[in-house]
Amino acid sequence: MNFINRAIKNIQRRLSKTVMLTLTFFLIGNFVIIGLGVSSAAENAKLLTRKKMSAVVFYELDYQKIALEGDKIQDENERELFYKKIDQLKHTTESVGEILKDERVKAISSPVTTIATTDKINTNHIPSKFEEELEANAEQEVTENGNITNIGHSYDISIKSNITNKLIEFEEKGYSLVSGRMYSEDEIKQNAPVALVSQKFAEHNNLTLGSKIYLIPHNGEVDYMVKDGLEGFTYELKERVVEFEVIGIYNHNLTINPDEILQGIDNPDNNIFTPIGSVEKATLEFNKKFYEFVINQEGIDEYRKEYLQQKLNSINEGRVEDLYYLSTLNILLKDPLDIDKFVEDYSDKNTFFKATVNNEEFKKFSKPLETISIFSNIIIILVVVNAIVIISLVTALTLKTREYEIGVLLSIGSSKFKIISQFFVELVLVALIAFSFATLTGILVSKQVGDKVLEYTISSQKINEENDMYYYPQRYTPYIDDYTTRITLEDVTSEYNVTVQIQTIATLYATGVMIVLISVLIPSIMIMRYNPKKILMSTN
Amino acid sequence: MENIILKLDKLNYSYQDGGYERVILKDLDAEFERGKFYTILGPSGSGKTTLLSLISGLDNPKSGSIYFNGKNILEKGLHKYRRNDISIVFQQYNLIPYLTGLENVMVAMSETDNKLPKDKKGVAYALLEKFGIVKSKANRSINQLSGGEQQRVSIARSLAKNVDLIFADEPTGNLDTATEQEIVNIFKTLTKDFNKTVIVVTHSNAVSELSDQRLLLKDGKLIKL
Repeated sequence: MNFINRAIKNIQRRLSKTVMLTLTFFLIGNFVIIGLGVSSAAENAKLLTRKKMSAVVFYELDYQKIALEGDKIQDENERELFYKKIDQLKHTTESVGEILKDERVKAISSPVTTIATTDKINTNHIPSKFEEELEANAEQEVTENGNITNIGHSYDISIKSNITNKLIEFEEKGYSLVSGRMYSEDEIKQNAPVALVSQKFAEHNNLTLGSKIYLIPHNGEVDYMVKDGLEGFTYELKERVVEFEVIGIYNHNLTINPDEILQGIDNPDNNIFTPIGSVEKATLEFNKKFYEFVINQEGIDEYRKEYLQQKLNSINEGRVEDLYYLSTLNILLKDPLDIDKFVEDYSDKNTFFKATVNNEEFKKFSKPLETISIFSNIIIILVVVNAIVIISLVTALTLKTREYEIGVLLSIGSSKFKIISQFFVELVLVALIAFSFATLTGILVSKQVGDKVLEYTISSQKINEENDMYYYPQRYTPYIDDYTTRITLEDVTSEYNVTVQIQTIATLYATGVMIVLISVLIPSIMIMRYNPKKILMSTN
Repeated sequence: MENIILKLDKLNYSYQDGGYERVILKDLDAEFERGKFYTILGPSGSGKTTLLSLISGLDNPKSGSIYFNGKNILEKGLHKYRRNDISIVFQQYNLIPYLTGLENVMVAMSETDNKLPKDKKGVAYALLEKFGIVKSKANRSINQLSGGEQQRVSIARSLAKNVDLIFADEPTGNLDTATEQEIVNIFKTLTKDFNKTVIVVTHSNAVSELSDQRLLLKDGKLIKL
């Protein structure tokens, strides 16, 4: 007849007390399971929505911090020096490489987009329905010997140059390599003229791996001089064509509506992926040749000559060091749950860069869930605290009636620990039985309660929003970047599904054990102070 | 000397009572032999129950020592002493109310480190039967037993741990004369047949007259009668 057996006998033979405790635990269990079910449904919905949104963090220059630091500098020269230093701040292959070493990072996309046109001889973009109809390229002329003499206003190619080869597009946005390979880290460092083209683009131009594509990157200054700056002068642009070797052909799963594509650059199939710096390097080389050509032309005015000579000198003297300027990175994390910690870690670094998340839509639509989650957790805490108080009092009160039993057990040599254990087992067994019943009723009730709570929370939020919109009409128009998936309220609420999971039941039982443990604490202190002589002598 | 199971050496006990120190036991010396039935007599308030609580390890003396089989019980530990060396029979029987007679006996068996037979239930039934509690009664809740039957269960429980020293505090105080006689006979059987030492605190002359040694507690000391 050990303490466990005694506990079972006590439960069986003191039925009125057992029923009272069972009912108390049953009610507690129902509240807790409903609270846990609703809370976990809200948290799950938030989590699933966040997963839908992808875990993209922006790492960019913190202009507010820069301005604040700049304002602190009193001396004008020093301040100027400070801002010159700030101008040098950018993401480099080295700094990005360090970020990629972070185990939480899955991919980084930081496209420097250069709009361009195809040479129209060897390479042609996939035209839009409107371009085909309106012959939008009419302004562009090709001479008899195959050189381009003018450039149209319609740019048809989007060159996306990246500082990494682990791109969000290929890791998460539905792009995949059909053949060939991604450019290497060495090719990024060397600004190599290699490119990845879409399968449709390749088919349109009969391209295979190793083929060349010929593009003319947009350069406003050159265009201006060619078109208007040099009267009566036509510069043949053959030299301006940039050559890229096709090393990879990709496909994507984007849905394209032909009616929405006005010109070539709107069509994702006209996107070309290259290492960062490759387009810029080729453009720089072209600029050098172009300036030399213009300077040597007869009849050019002195002012323009001097201006171009300065630019040429800059290139020749290596003063044009930066081929590109990259201030923002889009960092995709492997686990959306790491976002907050990642942002915190990267914001803590003592730099002028800050990590942010495009959370506006998520925050807005997950607000009802946040409210539900907080409300449920408050209910759970209140119920648990009340349960501890009630069970403690019940146990402490019944302890008075069991002093005699405790005295007997102590006199026959039972330890105080065993007596406390018996009380604990009695309560735990009752709690487990009551919680088993509570699980059954909780499963039935929690869904109804959860759905009602969501319905009420959404309707009350809508009323608040309408009031806000009246006063702040621009408040709910968050900016959405290319890497954050747009979500709606339905996206969030559709993920809200109140079910009682195994973890919920496990948490309920763990909560029960915790309630009992704490509830037994006060009576245990009383038992520890008991003197068997006093109990027994007073009862005798 | 080897026959001495319990020795009390200069026991002192007092407590504060309204600013005065009330002395209960004063340099009390006594020896109790194995296999004997002792009764301790004394008027109310003489300190009989206090003495019993000290020798049964429920309380500590202010000074002095208690030796069980030659070992100081304080050094041994009072909890171990109560657990393995002694049993107590109370006037109110002190049985656990929600257990049956059998279960009450078995509780004591589970609370000792002494070697007991494997068939504890069988032993418990046998013990109860020896003291007139048949199986059907042994399985009843103790509330359904008479006072005499409850005291028999209590005595069976005291034997269940297989200890050599049994204390009893007014064990027949709530019983009629016939039952009192039966209980005293049981104590005598325990000493004679099982070589147990029984020390009973009582007011009853009828009980004390049947003991092997009568002791009177007077002025804080035990006097052999």
